[in-house]
Amino acid sequence: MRKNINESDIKNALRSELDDLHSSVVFKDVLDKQNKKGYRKILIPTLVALLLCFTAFLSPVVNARFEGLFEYKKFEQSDGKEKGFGAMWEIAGYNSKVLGSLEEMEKDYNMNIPFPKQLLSEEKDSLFKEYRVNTNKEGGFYAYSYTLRTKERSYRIDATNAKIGKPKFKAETLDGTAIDKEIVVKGEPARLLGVYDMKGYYIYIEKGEWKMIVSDFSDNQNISREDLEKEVIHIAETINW
Amino acid sequence: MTQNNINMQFEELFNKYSSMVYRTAYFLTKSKYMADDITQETFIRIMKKFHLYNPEKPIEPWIYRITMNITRNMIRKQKLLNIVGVNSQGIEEVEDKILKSEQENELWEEINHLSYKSKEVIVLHYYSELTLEEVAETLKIPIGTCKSRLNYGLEKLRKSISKKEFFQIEQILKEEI
Repeated sequence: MRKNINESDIKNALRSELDDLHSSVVFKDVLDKQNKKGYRKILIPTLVALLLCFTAFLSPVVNARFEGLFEYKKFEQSDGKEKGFGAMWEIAGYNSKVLGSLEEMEKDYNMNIPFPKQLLSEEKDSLFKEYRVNTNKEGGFYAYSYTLRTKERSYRIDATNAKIGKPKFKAETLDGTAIDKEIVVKGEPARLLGVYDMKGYYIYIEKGEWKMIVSDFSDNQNISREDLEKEVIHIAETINW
Repeated sequence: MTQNNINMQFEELFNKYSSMVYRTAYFLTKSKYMADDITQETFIRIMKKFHLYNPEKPIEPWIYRITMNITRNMIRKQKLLNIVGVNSQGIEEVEDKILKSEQENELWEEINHLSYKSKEVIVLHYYSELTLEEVAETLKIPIGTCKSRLNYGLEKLRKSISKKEFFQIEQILKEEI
C-alpha cells in the first residue's frame, strides 16, 4: 500500500505552517549589528592582548573533584567551522515541559529546587524567559533548565539531582588558552570557566545531590571581564541550596 | 553611490526576502529565536559579500546558499553552546505549533521527521520554489545528489503516510471486532 503524495500536497503543508510566520528582525537591527560587528573586530584582538597578561594569574589548581571537566584547544580554521564554547550534559531526560515560574516548578514536583535568586530580579527586563523541567520516564523530576535573555545578558541555569555524571565543557579558542579557575561559592568549591573570545562565563557547582551550571554571557562589549566574573559569582552566591 | 543609497537598496532586498529566509530557517531549526538570528546574520553577510554576487545570475539561490550555510553553522554551534538534548530558546510556542500540526497536518509532521538533508531540498524546492538546478547550486551539490535526496525524502514520506494509514485501518478493524 503506497499513498501518492503530490507536489501540491507538500507545498500546501509547508505553506499552511510557514506562511504566517514573520521575523521580529527589522532592517535597522541588521545595520546596528553590522556596525557593532565592525567594532568587535577591533576590540577582540586588543582584548586578547590585554588579557594575555591576566592569564598568567589563572593557572588552574588541580582538584580531583573537577578533573577532566574542561577541555579546550586552539581553533583550527576550516570551511564552515566556527569557534565554540559550551557544555555537554545528558540532562534531557525522557520528556520535558515548560512551566511559568520557579514556584510552579517547586509546587508541581513538591520539592525545593535550588535556584540563583538574583536572576528573579533580572526577570523584570526579560526579552525571553523559560523554565523547562525535564522529566524521567515516569514523569518525575529529572533536571531543569532556565533561560533568561535581557537586552544585555543571556543567562542560563541547568541543574539536576539525578545520579548522572558531570557535564563536559569544551572550547575551541583563537589562541588555544582559556580561563579555568577554582573558586569557592559560599563555602562550596566550584569551577569558573571562560574563554577570551567571548564575554561570558560558566560556573559549575555541586552541593549534596545537586549539580548545577550557571552561565552568564554578555552582549555588552563595554563590560570588563572582571566585572562579568564578579557578576556571575554573585549570581551563584544567591543559589538557595 | 552614497552609503544611504546603498543601504536603501539593501533594505529593499531585506524587505523582499527576509520573510522567506526566516521561514526557511525556522523550518530547519524549529526555533523562532534561531530563525531570527539566522535572518539577521544572513543579511549582514549579504551586505558584506554583495560584491561577490554575480548579477547575471538570479539572486535567490545566492541568498539561500548564505541562509543554508549560516543555518548549518548555527545548528552546529547551538549543539555545542547548549546542553545536549535540551533545546532552549522560544521553544514552547514552537512545540505548541508542532502539536497543533500533528493533529491538523499529518504531512507536515512527517516532513519534519525527514533527515536534515532531505528537508533542505524540500524546503528550497517546494516552499522557496527554486528549480532543482538552483537547489543543487544553492547547496553546492551535484544535481544527481539533489534529485536523490528529494526522491529519498518523498519515498520516506509515502511510506510513513501509508504505514500510518495502515495502522489506523487496523485499529478501526480491531475496534469493530
